[in-house]
Amino acid sequence: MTDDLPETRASLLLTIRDPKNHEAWEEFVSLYQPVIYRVAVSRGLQHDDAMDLVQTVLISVANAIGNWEKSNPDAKFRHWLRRVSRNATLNAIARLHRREGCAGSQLENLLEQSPDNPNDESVLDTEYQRQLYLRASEIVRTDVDPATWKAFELTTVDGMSSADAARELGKSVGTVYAARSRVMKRLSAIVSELEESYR
Amino acid sequence: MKQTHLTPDQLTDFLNGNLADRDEQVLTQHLDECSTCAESLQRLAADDVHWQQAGKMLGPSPTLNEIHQTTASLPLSTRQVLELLGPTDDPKSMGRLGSFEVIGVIGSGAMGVVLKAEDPTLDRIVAVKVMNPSLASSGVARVRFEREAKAAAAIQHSNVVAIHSVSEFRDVPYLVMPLVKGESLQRRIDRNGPSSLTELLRIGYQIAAALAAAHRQGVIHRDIKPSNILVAEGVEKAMLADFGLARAIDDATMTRSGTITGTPEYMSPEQARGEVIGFSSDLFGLGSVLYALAAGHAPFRAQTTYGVIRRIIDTKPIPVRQLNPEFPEWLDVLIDKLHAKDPEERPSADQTVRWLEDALAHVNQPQHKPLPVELMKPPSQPSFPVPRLLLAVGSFVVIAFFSFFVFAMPVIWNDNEVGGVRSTAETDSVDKETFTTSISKDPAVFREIRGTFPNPDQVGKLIVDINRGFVEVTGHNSSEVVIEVLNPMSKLTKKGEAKTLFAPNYDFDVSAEDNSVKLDTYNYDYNLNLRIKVPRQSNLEIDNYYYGYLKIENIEGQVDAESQHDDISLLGISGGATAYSRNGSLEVSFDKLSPDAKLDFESYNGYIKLTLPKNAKLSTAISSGTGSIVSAFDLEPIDKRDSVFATVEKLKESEYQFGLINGGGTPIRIENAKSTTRILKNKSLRK
Repeated sequence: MTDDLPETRASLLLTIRDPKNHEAWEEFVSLYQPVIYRVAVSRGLQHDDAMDLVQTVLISVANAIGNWEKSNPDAKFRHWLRRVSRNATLNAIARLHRREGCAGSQLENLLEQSPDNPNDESVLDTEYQRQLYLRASEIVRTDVDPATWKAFELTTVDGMSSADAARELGKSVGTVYAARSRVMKRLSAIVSELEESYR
Repeated sequence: MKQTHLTPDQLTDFLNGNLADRDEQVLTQHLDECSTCAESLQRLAADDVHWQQAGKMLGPSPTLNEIHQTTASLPLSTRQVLELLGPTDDPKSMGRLGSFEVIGVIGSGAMGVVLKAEDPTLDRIVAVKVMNPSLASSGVARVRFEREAKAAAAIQHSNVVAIHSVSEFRDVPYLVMPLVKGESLQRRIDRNGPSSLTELLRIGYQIAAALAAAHRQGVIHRDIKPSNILVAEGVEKAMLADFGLARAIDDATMTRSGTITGTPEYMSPEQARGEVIGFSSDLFGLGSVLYALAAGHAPFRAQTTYGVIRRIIDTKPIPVRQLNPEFPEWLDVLIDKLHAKDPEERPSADQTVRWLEDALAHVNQPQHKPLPVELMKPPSQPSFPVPRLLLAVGSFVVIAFFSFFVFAMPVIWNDNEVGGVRSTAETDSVDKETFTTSISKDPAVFREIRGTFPNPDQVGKLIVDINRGFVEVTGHNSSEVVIEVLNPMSKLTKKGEAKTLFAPNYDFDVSAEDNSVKLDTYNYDYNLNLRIKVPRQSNLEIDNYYYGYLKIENIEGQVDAESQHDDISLLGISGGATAYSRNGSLEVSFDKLSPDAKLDFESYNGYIKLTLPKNAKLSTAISSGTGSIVSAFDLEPIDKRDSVFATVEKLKESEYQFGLINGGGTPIRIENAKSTTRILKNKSLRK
């Protein structure tokens, strides 16, 4: 998906006046575009259409930045960015539902009510949350040694017991506990930091 | 060395890695044996919720790179159906369902999944609806699904989406239908807005004919609404789909829980009340479809499901003629008959077919074909006194009606008093300090409010915040603000006898401080349709949250308008304008502008049409989502259906730079541009 976006992003940057915000925007886009993409795909879009939707949302957000900068020089740019992007994504997805329709769309109309399909808002929020964790895990992972990460992954993500993980890794149980707790602590700290910065 | 449990400080230091190697080793060994301390350590690292969250969030999930190779992201029902499929040799097939090779997923819902499949025996592509496997395990639901589908399969009519066959695969029922190229009527309405009278009658006639055929077979559709009507591509043909299936779903999924799923907007009153429904329920639905074709939206709307249901049961929609005077009065008569609250009073499908046929002939040849006499009568006794007046005599008398109240009612406040608010009703009271009217609970007397800008020499500002309903603002040459409520709202009591008129909820403030007038409204359930006259010099700020258009004309001040769900039209504003319309179009036509007038326009999912004078300094015109800029400085229209994102940036005086990204691949044509225009980019995003 990365072959389409950078160019658009560069041209969109023209609309952002404050150079400090350029960086924030780049950072935010790299965090948020997978979120939009996943929500789009979870709503049944094919890769190309999901890419289009990502574009639509980011372009509408970028376009709004200029106006925002004029009127709110002091407010937190990142906070605004997240709120606006969230709304823009929900709009785009809602639009999608309305545009659906083929022979007899009774079924499609019930899509939203299906217990398998939580509403757009909660899907978006979950995907956003997932992205924060993924981003945080990228950071922590490069910081700790591979065995420490593995201890965390096996026990927390793959659901293995600490004893089994210890056997698998050839470490003591105490080491596994220590490793997973330390990773978890850093992970939560980074997630809350990210959460806070885009609140 | 074995020690008793670790202290909180030790745990903290350990967790943070602040210990010397030796201590670290000792504590790690302790953790090997002491599960209590191991647990304390984990709790110290993060609480249970975060541990679980981390496991879930980092666990197996569709990640960006693998997402389109896996079905994990598909709804459960779709995955279940795909898992159900049998093996196949065909490389393009996802699997086999009976003799069908499944080649794609069209959509999915609570009840089932629609697949695109190849029928090898007849060498054709079909749509296959497969019942949700978890529902299919319920015998009742399965039996009903099959029975309804078989009944529907018996209907042979060119305006009914045929059902080729009904069958079962591994105990899961499915039905096979032609794959019709086209779009749903809902989608067409969303895209094009209201239809012309001829188109409305033609579609209405075809659906009525489909219903007549179904009713002759004893089949009730139960869910007539635009999204169940398919408009075939290329030909003017409307087809009704999903006969009886709504009921099958109801029984399987929702009536047991007592909740309604799906949109109730097109339900009949008896359906909304959960009563037994008959053929005439479909006719009520047809009335709502005709209304939607004329109005561009469903007749009964509210923010909540409950609100919609209450309106379906208790009220009549605003006549379409009031929304668009171009429609004939007899269309409202027809819709009114179909919308009879009592199912017995509604016409049959056969009767409706004849009326629509005759009406269509009448429209085509008014001289030779008379209108059916039944449609010439005024609508059947409406339930409310005021709407009847509105229906019967039209807007001309309405004005007189308002005037009557203005003059007949005692005036509490003297106009000349600064900040004075004149009320039209004795029961309204005005707070002298805050200049606020509080609206009486007996709203029958309330039609118009007036206020005066505290200082007539100064330019005032009117701030209107409206939740739903349209607002029309016109400038006039006085310092007075006149707000007329165009639709007195009404509601039946439970018995259907006594009638009460409701006043809209709003506060009207005249502020002596900043010389502004403020109107705050909160009407989620009712349309508040306002006509406002303000001094021409005033600045305006209007925020329309819910459905209802904004039309503002003839203002010399600056206008700031925002509409979340409907169109904005700005005419003859010379002080500049900022407008944002979301899910609505934005039409701007100014013939003169003050030299420093600011122009900022933005539309999301709506087109922007601009007609501006030569000296206009456009700072932004952004159309994103599915809209486009159809005309800027005499630009030719660009097909509305395609996505065009445009950013207009001013380079120098009368020189504009357009950054265009053309999502739909439509050519962008620029002709007669009065300024230097450069297209920076015209790139098709789709490969």
